[in-house]
Amino acid sequence: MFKTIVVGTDGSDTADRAVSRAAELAALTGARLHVVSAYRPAAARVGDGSGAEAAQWTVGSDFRADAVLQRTLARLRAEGISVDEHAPKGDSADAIVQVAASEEADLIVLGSKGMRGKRRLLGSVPNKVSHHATCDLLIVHTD
Amino acid sequence: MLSTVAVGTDGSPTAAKAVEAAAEIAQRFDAKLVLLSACRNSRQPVTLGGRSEELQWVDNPDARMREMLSRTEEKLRERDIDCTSLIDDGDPGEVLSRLAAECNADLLVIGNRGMQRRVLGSVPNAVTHKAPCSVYVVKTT
Repeated sequence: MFKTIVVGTDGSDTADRAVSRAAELAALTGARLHVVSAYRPAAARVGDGSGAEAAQWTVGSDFRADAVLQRTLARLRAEGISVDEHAPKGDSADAIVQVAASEEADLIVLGSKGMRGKRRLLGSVPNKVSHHATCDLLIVHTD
Repeated sequence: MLSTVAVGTDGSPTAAKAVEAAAEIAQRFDAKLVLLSACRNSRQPVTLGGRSEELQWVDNPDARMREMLSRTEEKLRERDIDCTSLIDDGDPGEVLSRLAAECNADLLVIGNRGMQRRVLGSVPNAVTHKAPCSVYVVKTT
């Protein structure tokens, strides 16, 4: 059913739920899992007006989030799931779409954070991915 | 992991691909499948299931939708999928989200047609923002 699944995470608890769901699907279908956590220097975010939730997707300079991510990866590998890690520099949504395209993914999995309420018009990560993805997209209900 | 999978359909080719993806997911998880449709003139949600003939009216555009649902249900049952349908009137994005809640869906499957225009108001876009559950957007375009 799936050969390659890409999941985006910022190491947050809600993103972790999406990663867990993606891992279950990967285990069930024998798919290879690619975990994408875009890296952007914190200073690049200042004053860009993109809002708090978008900023929360920025990993790399946040050691706590990175620790969460590394724990998640270790757990997945312990469960026997083939997992690749991608930490490209740049916008999270762009990075997820690009990794999905280059790895020829069948499915992108993301948490729903930012999809409801007033943030919905302003370009949350799942919203942006939903408009640009070149494969199927699972938005896991996390909020 | 999944016990009820819902899928939005209007009988279009893009929706047919979404239904097929939903059917595969339902089979994989041994989940119930619920076909959801929005129409303009039905007075109340009606559960189809063997009663479709009684519900068809000549010259009623909804009758065609119901007939389509009934045919699709039948085909899916032949594949041993536990399948029902729900139909209601109103804005498709609202209706699909509401009916998904009504049938306690864990997952709502929808075709992506209209997503790349980036306009607000396409059905899949509305669903991704309003659904009470996880949403699976099938790439059909």
